[in-house]
Amino acid sequence: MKRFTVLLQGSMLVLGFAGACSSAADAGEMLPEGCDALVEPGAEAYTELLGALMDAQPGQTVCMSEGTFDFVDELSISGNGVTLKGAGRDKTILDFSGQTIGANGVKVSGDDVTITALTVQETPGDGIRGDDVKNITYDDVAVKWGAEASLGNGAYGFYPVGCDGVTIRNSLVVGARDAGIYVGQSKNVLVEDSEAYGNVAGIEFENTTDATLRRTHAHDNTAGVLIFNLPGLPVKNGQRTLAYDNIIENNNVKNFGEPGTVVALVPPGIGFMILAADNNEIRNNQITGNDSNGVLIVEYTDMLFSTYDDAEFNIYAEGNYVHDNTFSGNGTKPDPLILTVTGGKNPSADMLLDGCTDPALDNADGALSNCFTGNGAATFLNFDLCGQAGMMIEDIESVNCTHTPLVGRT
Amino acid sequence: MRARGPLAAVGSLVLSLAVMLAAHGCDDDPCAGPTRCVPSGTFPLPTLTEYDFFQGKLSEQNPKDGVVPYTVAAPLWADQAGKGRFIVLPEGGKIGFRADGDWEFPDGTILVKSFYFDHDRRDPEAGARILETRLLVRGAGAWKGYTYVWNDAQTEATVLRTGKHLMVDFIDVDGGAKTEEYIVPNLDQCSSCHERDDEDHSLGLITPQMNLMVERDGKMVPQIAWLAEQGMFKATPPDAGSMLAFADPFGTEDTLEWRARSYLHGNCAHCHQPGGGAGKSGLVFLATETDPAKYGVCKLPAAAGPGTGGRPHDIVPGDPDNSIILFRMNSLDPEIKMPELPNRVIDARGVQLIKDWISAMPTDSVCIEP
Repeated sequence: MKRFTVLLQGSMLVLGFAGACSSAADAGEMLPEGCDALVEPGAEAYTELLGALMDAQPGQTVCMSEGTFDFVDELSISGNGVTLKGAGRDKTILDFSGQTIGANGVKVSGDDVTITALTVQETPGDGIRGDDVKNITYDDVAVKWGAEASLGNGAYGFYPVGCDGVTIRNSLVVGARDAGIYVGQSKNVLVEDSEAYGNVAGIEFENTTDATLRRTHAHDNTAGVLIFNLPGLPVKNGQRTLAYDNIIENNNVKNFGEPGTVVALVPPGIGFMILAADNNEIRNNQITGNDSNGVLIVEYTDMLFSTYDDAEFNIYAEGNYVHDNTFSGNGTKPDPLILTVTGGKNPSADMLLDGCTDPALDNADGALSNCFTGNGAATFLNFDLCGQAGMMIEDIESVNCTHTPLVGRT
Repeated sequence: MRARGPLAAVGSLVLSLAVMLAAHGCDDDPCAGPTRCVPSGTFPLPTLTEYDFFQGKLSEQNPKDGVVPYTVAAPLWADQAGKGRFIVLPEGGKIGFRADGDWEFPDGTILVKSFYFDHDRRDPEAGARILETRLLVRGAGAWKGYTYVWNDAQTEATVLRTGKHLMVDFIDVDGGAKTEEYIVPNLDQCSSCHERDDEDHSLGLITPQMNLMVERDGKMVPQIAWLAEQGMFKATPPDAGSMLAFADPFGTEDTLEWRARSYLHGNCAHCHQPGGGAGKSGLVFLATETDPAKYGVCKLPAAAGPGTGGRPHDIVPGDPDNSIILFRMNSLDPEIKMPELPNRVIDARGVQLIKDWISAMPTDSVCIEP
């Protein structure tokens, strides 16, 4: 069906005024409101769906009915302004258990594409990739892998890379062997009202600029939220992630990342981790029960990560602002790697800072300082990784400063 | 032209005919000459027949005037499918030659590529099954791709947007009957290889890929000069010897290094170059890239995930088993395999070539382990 329902609805628009074409009206009734095509499960569903997506004009919506769709090929959305809409996150399931083709379940290469009200599950590779596009939206979407902490799971759930304009809301990722909600080399990003658990990294912003993360629940991952800059990538030096009103708790899952990947090196028990990224703001979050620490700010250190060849890469994490958060129960069972850098301090602290600043830069105005204020009774440790302070410092007053708050995306 | 199967054999026979026809003209064909009339109708036309590229039996791919065969030095592996390639310029149209970058084609140009499996890999004379014919059609200054799938009777190929899985029977080199799945890509997948900087490109029609000796009319001739003789260029291109030429990756004439780099260009650089589908990885497989770190030597993976197989670097000199690139070339797992094409068969010769190349790399500077 369904590809011709597009045509039929078109003719209904033309003929409807004449009131003469009852068959078109019948076909029109078959399409749910807001749908320009409808695809139902079945042997031909993949071909029908791909055809409908290829036919869809900007502003049109291709709907999938309730049910489970078993796909063995990657599904692609290449048209601009197309919406792919299921009957509900728990009702329309795209199951890729038998997938043999494609590194993603769904790959989006058109601009202004929205995916909504469906679940993608059991992709051998990544869930839903957005590849170098403008304004991709994931709304009420889940990506799931059923096996717990399994290397057999796919790497990334939501996987927009190189995008300008990413919106992820009311969505869920469970079980990613790398990052559940991952946004890489992108800008102008909003992640809100979402949930990530059972992943190595719940949420990761990598080499990404101007991201806002709010009202999101990252729990029971290896690490809750990673704000990373990595060397050797075309888009460099991401900055200005704003995270507020999130609950980041109990991220203590054993790291099941693929050996050799950066994320596999992240110690378990981390709430937020800022790596080599500047001018980020973490405010008014509830950060609870993360065994190693609540917030870790650290340079790209060869103690942990590989050496690199990238002259434009700045290893330091500077100008970050952590304020007005609620911390409790963090650092009670720090990972051995954390103990190594903190001189064995156990319990660890809510907030850990490497104390490294770029000796080549002038910080007279304090713009490069990492500031911590208004975090209640949260504990702090500058573990003096670079030896610039000459000793570890626990006094929170040593980092009492402020930066201009970020506005973020709304 | 290396004989690669019956089509190639037919091709060279037909070629003499085509050249002869080009020389003498053909009274029966109103579109005769070095270029062809653009087929009328809206692209894609429903069937391959309607393009009027071939004379006689369609499956013999016997080109009419103005349907000009070509081949490339370092072709993309396609599950050992043979390929027949043709350039069809519109009436009066000529190619703007470029030593670097894409050749410039006029609107109305159609590039034709058929994919076929030999019935018996021990005996190319036993014929072949043509699986699909892909077209790149130039209009409004841009390429657009279409795929035509052949029927079992081999009498017609029909346009198909959504791709198809075919089961292909053949006799393998060991004489055993074999069935392989072959994937005809859907139209979205055209761009996954051909798109760069938001525009589709022809991949084969660049100077180093085209700068090779081919058999035409019973003689070995430089391909670009031969195309020039057919009147296909606006201006005469330089001598073959003065232009970059990719190696036959499995030939004996060029160095191991250049054969490997040519192979990687032909099989990987469509994505792995700035602006390409894998530009964001930072890994560049253009054969002209001179920075070893960019073509993978001691380079860390970006977002490779399980694609690393636990290996630390894309290429570890002298240590192919620890090189991610080889691990990925040697896999059919959709999450791991490279290239990210729907291949069903590993290119064993390609794997061996890259293995030999990495093994032979100087090991005086070692990659630093993470």
